Amino acid sequence: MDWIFVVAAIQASMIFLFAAIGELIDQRSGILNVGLEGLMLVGALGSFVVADATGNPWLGFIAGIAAGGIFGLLHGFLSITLKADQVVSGMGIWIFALGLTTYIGNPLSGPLNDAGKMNGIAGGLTPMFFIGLLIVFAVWFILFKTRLGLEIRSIGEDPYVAEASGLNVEKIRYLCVIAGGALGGLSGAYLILVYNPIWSPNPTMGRGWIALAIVFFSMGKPKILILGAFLLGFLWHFALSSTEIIPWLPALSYHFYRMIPFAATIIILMIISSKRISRKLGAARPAALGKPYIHNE
Amino acid sequence: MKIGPYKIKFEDRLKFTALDATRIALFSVILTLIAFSAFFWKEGINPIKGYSEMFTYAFATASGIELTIRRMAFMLFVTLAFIIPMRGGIWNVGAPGQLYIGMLAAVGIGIWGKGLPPGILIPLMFLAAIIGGGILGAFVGYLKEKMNVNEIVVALMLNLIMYYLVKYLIEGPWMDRSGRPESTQLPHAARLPMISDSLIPYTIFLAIALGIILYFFLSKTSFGYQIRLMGTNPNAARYSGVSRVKIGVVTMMMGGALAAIAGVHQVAGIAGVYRIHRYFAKFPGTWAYYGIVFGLIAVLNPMAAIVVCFLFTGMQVGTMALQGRLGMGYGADLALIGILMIFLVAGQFFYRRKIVFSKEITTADGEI
Amino acid sequence: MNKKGISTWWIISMFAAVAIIGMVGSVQATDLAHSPRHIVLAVEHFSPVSGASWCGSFHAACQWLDKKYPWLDYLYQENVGPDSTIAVAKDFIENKHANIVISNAEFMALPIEAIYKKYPNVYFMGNIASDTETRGQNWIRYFGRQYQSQFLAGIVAGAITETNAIGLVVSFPAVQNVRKVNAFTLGVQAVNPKAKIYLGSYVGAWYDPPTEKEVSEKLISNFKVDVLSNPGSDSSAPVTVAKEKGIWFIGKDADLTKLGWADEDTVATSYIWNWQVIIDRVLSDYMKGETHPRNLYFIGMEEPLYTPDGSIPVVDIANNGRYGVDSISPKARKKMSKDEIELIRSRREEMLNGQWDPFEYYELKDGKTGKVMSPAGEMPSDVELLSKMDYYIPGVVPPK
Repeated sequence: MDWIFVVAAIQASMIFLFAAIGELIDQRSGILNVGLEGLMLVGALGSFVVADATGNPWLGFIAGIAAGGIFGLLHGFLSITLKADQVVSGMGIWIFALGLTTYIGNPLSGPLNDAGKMNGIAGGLTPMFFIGLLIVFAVWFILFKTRLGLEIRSIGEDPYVAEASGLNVEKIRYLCVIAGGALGGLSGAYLILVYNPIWSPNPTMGRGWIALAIVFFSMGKPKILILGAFLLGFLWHFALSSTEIIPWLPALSYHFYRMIPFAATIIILMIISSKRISRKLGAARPAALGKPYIHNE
Repeated sequence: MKIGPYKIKFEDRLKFTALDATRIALFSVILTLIAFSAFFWKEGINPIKGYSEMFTYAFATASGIELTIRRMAFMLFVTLAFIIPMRGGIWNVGAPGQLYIGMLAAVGIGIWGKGLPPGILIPLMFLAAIIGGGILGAFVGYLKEKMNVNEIVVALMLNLIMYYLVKYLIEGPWMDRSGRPESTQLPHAARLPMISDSLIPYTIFLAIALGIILYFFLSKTSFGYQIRLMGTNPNAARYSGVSRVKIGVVTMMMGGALAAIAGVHQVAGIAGVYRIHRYFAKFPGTWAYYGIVFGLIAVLNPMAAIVVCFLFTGMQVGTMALQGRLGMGYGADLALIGILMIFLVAGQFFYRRKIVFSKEITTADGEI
Repeated sequence: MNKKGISTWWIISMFAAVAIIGMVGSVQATDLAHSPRHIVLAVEHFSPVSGASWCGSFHAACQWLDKKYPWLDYLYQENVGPDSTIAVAKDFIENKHANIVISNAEFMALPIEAIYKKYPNVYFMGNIASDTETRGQNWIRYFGRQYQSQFLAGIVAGAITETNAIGLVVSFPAVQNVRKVNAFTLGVQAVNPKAKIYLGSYVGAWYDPPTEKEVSEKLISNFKVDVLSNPGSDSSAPVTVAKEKGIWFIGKDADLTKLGWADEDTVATSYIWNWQVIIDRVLSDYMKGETHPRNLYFIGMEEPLYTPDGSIPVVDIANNGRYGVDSISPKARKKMSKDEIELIRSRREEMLNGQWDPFEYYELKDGKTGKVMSPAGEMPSDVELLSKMDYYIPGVVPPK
């Protein structure tokens, strides 16, 4: 295990981390977005197109974030205003994004323009790594140390009570889905501009679902989420060179290591399904998650 | 909101009929086709020509209709796999995983039973697939109803686990000896018979029959009634003594088995392939998710699903062929289904509400 | 979303829709004029043509022919799966009057067996990965001896490595990949017997940019490789990693610098395909009206295509549009001795004349058991090369 490995693993983790923290905001406000993969796809395409054309990775990041935000907004419109089922809407976002990015991106397939890629500054880590960590910290701070965060969480727990206490449920939920979408887009942009600067059909290859797993796995706690994201990033690369890092491990195919996060998520969900254990662990499971909020007039 | 002399407002629907659903679905499809015209304009193709090429290929050419029908059987199985549990109130997004287990069962049995006559081997393959898919589905149903674990997340996770399992097997122990990353080819006895000279296996009849049977199962049997009651009014179901766990486990088991049958169809019913091809195990699942889209268009009616699957599989097949026919860019078919999905989701709004146009003073005179 | 009962409306309206659509469709159905001297070449690509070197080089070859012959029409469809191979081929023939239908991957070639007899006037071409037996009168199977150019590229790699560690990104332990790796290794060892060839991990797909990138990085970090190539994967991920980490790269299938994936500071040379060589031969058979065309091509550099601008071998090494020894990037050339360059020049010359073949000249030993699989001076059979070679020669370090 050397520095290149560590950098590669950290970069893989960042992709999971951005997407997962975005989804965490959504879920804390009571919105489930299973279309995370779709947000990442549009973020990836947006950033690729702009960075490739302008040769400026910063503009690429902005475009990726904007594209993700717009799709987050779309999810909000469908699930908050139109009150569509959140799962259907999320699936729709994903299938729509997959189709759109495959079609638009296909002629661009291939490596990114050299100038568009974000280069490492500190031992291969890019400026976006540090900025990204700041963003994640800011999200945590807002969610748990500010009044707005408290409002978001109370809406996730019970929107009716929140509304009765004078909060504008729809407005705050919109804010959350857009922020979550933007972070999903950032994750896709990071994938394309830092991790693997190449456009190919469906470049995320299921990373969005892994990020979704991390959110459930973290029981809604950002600290566990950050830990989980880094753990999975390392596991992701460890899967490829397990026997070189720990020689006495049996030579398992990398497929088995990549199954671990998914199996672990199922087990965690089974464990916290017990109310007693879940209370003991302090697991946050927004009670209103996934249900459209229909306020009575 | 006001347009001219008309006042538009949304009203809650008191009842929602199948006819309403049909209208909403058709409306979504029309909007999709209009929106998709932009793609044709972008490519410099007249949309009317584009659509006519698309529908001609899918429904009016010999090669196209063959592909449409064969793929329709697959779509119908995964659509039914979504519909049945959904009627009982459970989301089955696990079709890809259940599909994979069906493929594994079919190929596993097919290779293990080399030498058996087709009359024994093929039913065995189906049986194994049904058991495998059923167990996978029942696991999700049990977790959901007994332990209150989110079925969507569990099913998504299982899909990914199964994906890596299939990938491991076709790149490892089951790999073709001469070295393509695909499973060994099925022996002749394990291949599904085709309808006379065509390339359509008889599973298409199985799919259609299942659609009809499941329709009557849901609407005419008492167990079907319990499922529907659980889906629409869980509290009433509980008071009348229906077991949530039983409904959850059984419907998910049925869903899992149906998706697994699609797996058998996919590996044993495609001429010249007859194996788990690496294209059938793409990340993360692809077509099996379309069962959700088609199931929603069919408003969870198994009989309507037959028509829906035929039409929309045709649209997908036709769009795919646009590249060879009109030089349309790759991915147009995926984009079409994506747009359709968004309009359908938006259309859900009108499941609960309707638009009422009214002139000042006068009452409602139209609705959509 | 509860629905009661089936609505006959449902069925009626849907069928009405089909009927209307069908009528509009049949009225609009187009029919291309079909003149006998007008040849339609239809290709089924298994992946997108841009961004993937295999289909990309095939696409380029077809475009080259399209430009060369005014009477040729080139149609194609990307991302054809194994289950739609037949339907797409039939559509090309029945509705587009295709005269030659090519499936450029073996998995898309095999299903053709079910239909080729139905269309005796059409030539079907199917790529060979390992199977040479399934072919027919008008069903042509083809492949080229790319290992010859891989041998030449291997010499370059062996000469320019400083760490004596060369990394190859490979999708699966399949015969076709083993053959490529072995030929490359023979080239490396011809000038640098100490060098080791590392495979790291198998990618698990021909085209999976993220995993290809991860495996490339692993090769660099775990084995300190300073020359990288991807004989068994398709995307631009490995060359992008090489560029980023500042190591040498040997390109695959297409001339990567001409494609713009990297410049000559990274790409020492590329081993390329000139598929037009094979397609052109089939075309001329078709123009002559052969009912029994040659139906098996496994040709090497000795059967080139003669053009006014010189002869084109089916495989070669190339860089920025230059071929053979000239293809080696100037910066890489500085690191090579005169003898090494001379060796590439003479071996290429001998292969162009059909006098030499790496698998004939060298002894082939199983690196694991040490058993001699093919003695020096003996040419392994085509079947051996295409579907039996499942051992890596000494010097290759396969994944655990």
